[in-house]
Amino acid sequence: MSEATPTGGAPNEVTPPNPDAIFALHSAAMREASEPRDGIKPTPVSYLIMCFFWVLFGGWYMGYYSGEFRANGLNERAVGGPLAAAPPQNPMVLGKEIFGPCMQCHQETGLGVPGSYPPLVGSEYVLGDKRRLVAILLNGITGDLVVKGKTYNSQMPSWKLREDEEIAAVLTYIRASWGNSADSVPTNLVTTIRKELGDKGGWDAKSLAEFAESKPAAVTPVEAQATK
Amino acid sequence: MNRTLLLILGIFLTIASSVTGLVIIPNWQFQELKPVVKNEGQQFPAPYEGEAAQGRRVYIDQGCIYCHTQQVRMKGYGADIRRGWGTRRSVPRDYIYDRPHQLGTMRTGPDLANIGGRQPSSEWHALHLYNPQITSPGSVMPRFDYLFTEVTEPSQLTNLAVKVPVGSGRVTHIIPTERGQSLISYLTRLNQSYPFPEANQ
Amino acid sequence: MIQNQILQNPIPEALRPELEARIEVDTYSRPVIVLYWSTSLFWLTFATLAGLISSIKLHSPGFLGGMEWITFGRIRPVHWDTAIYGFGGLAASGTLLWLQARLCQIRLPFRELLLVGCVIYNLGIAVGVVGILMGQSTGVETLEFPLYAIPFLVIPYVFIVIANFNMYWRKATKHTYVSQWYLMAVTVWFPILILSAEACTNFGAVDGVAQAIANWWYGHNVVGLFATPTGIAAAYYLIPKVIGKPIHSYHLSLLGFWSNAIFYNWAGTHHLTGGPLPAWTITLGVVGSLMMFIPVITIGINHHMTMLGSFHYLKTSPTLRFAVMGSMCYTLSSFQGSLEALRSHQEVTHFTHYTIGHVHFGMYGFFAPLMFAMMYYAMPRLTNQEWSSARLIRIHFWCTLVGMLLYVLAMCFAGIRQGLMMNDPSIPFLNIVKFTVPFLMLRTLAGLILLTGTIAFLINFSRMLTRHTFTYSTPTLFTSNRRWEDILEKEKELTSKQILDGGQGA
Repeated sequence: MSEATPTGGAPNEVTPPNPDAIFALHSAAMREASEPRDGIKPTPVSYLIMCFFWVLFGGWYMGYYSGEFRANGLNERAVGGPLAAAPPQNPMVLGKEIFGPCMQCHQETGLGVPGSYPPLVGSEYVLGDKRRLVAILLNGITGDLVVKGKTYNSQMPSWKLREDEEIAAVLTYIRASWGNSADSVPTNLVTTIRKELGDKGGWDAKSLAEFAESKPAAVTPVEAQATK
Repeated sequence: MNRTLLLILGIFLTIASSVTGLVIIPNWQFQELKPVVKNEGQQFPAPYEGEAAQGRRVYIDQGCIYCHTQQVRMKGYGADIRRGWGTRRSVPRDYIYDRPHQLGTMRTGPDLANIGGRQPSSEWHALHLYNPQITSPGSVMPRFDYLFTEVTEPSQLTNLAVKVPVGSGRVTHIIPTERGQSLISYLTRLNQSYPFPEANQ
Repeated sequence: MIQNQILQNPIPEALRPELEARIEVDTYSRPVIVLYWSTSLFWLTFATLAGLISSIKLHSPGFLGGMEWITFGRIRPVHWDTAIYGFGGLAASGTLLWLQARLCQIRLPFRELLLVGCVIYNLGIAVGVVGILMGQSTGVETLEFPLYAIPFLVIPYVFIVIANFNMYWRKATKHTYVSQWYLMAVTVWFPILILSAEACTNFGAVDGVAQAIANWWYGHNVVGLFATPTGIAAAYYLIPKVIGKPIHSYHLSLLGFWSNAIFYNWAGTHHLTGGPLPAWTITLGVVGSLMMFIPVITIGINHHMTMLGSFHYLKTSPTLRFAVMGSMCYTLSSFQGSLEALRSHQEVTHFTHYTIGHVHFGMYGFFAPLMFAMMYYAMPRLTNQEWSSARLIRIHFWCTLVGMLLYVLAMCFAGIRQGLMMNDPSIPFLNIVKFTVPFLMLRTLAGLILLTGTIAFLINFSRMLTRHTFTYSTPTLFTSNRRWEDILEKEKELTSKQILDGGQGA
């Protein structure tokens, strides 16, 4: 394609027998109209006025959503005070939403991946001790773990950065989905255990078992309520 | 000739104004953004070094940006945070060491700004890159199997080997190549967890 | 023969100078323009094929799997870069040079330089494509070509700028037609644009978010300040030319040009809505996009009022049909783009296939048809031959229109649904991916239709370069039954002597 340029034989190099033959050869150029010209119809004034108001609107919009032109003014709508606290949500609805990233390993069905990621369905860790379950979610767990008689070797991240309400909701959700039917996890339990664990790192099967056997720190329900 | 000069000057001014307004001024504003350094010498964000920097190069040459973003939108705008792609919105300070930037504009796949926090397991990343169908059935992500060596004999195993679930033919394990390993270490490092104050907007 | 028919009607003396000048200009431009356009069509085909491969890969990830060099993340930038720099750059440069030469009524200067430039430019794109396929992409969207390919792309452009300024300065006409404003604008804008953007991104003058802003300022402007003005210049030239009427209003042209020039270059940051940018930079992009209603409506009115009363030409003229399709899609896709920039709209459609649909609406609905119109109009004048087959033009037109519409509708619909689903966190991400797959298949179908049209055009175009179809004195219109077989018949009738002469001595 790219080499196929006609170069030789420019028509004006040939001496035509008829002086008008040059025109004949360029029949396409002959038949066209003269080069385009500009008409002089005026622009309606009303149209110009509309354009003017549109530009004014643009200026207002710019100022209104400018975030004060600061480098850190990221939210163009941050005009009033802080947002009002959201009302508590149904943990089953919120939990399903929070479960999104968990599906990467545990799958949408809660069955996990054989050999790599343990199932949540019927798992003794999910349905058993709530304290242990919260602890896994808060700090994550690494290494061999026996679930339903099978050994899984993998790594679960810590989800500590999520809110207590969210962690409680997702646990409530997995304890009551896919045929699981255990009771819900209260938000204040998460608050309590988070306090108890402090800056502790991730678990392995052994340290988790030790933690589960240890006595819960002496936090009375009244105190737990107060911290909430 | 005067009209010609006027035309060319006008054309020049239009673009000069937007170069100034959209390129020079924002860059000048961003000069004030500095990383946070904690007492222990830990720095947020930290520059990419060693394997992670190499992995970033692999991320770029494989064109991950055409399907994955690295930016979390603010709470209440889209569902980025509710989907668990981050715990806070991304801020300009998260990116001061990004060269070239990899913000991305397409989410054929999920956002990766916090993939290291969300999925710290190198093993998961290895399996997912080797064959996305193992970890995410139905995904349209291509296989990056050329970033791995397939192992069929137990004698070939090394400590980097990752066990492949049954159903992958004779392959029992995969070992990431140097590039594969660096890509995984870049991905597991992606994390915007440090709570910069300007993120609460 | 035809030549004799024309000569039977003597040429009026008054028209002679204009005709002579026009023929001289075209004769001089021929080698350069034909080379630019034929190579641009090569890259159009290449880009369409690359796009088709990426499209298939997105719904069938195993397609051509296992080959690193052709993985989705590499073939996808190759598609866009060859479409915008290969097809877009070369077709626009050819258009720019031909239009400027004709409107200035001056011989194209520096022909050798421009020819060499075209070869260098093509080499540059080839080098860039190989670079990306080898994994040396810079990773900056629309500026993916590795740094070593950049000089190849910039040097030829310098030649074009020099030639363009030279023509404009020495122009034989007193009046400056509206198309020329746009052409001058492109020559000033593009070098500034690409040099600032390369400096900021690949040469690392800025980092992080500032780089993202520079990147998208460029990414949007390469369409807005390079493809769009050339397309509008072509529409401003072709519409009045074909229907033989002046452009409706000089004042509207003026308003359209300057509002376009002032507002378009601010619009780029809407590609980063919701991102980690200061609010004001994004708002600027939104305002720039909203203000685009002014030039778009103005230019739309100007074109429409010019066309008014002449729509019946659409039945016959291929040039006009492509040009009007381009102008209409300019208005529609710009409306879509302005609305798309709004934050409330972006909350849904950002990061989805909707954007991809919009890009193709602009590039394949507006820019490409205007370039095709330009070629349909100018090629017979440059080569002194007629298009060989009306049927192939029909196929090209309908494939372009239907393929483009199918593409845009499928992607935009899928994009909106995809965005709504993504904003509902109770829907697992993989379900969204699975939802889009049928639409991605529709896109492959649309791509195939577009490819068919491109091939029809290629056949017609290459026949013009390789076969003599001079035996026709009338233009190839949609209404004519001209077929390739007829030409073969005609050629048989002619004596071999006449064919060798190329008909010149008739």
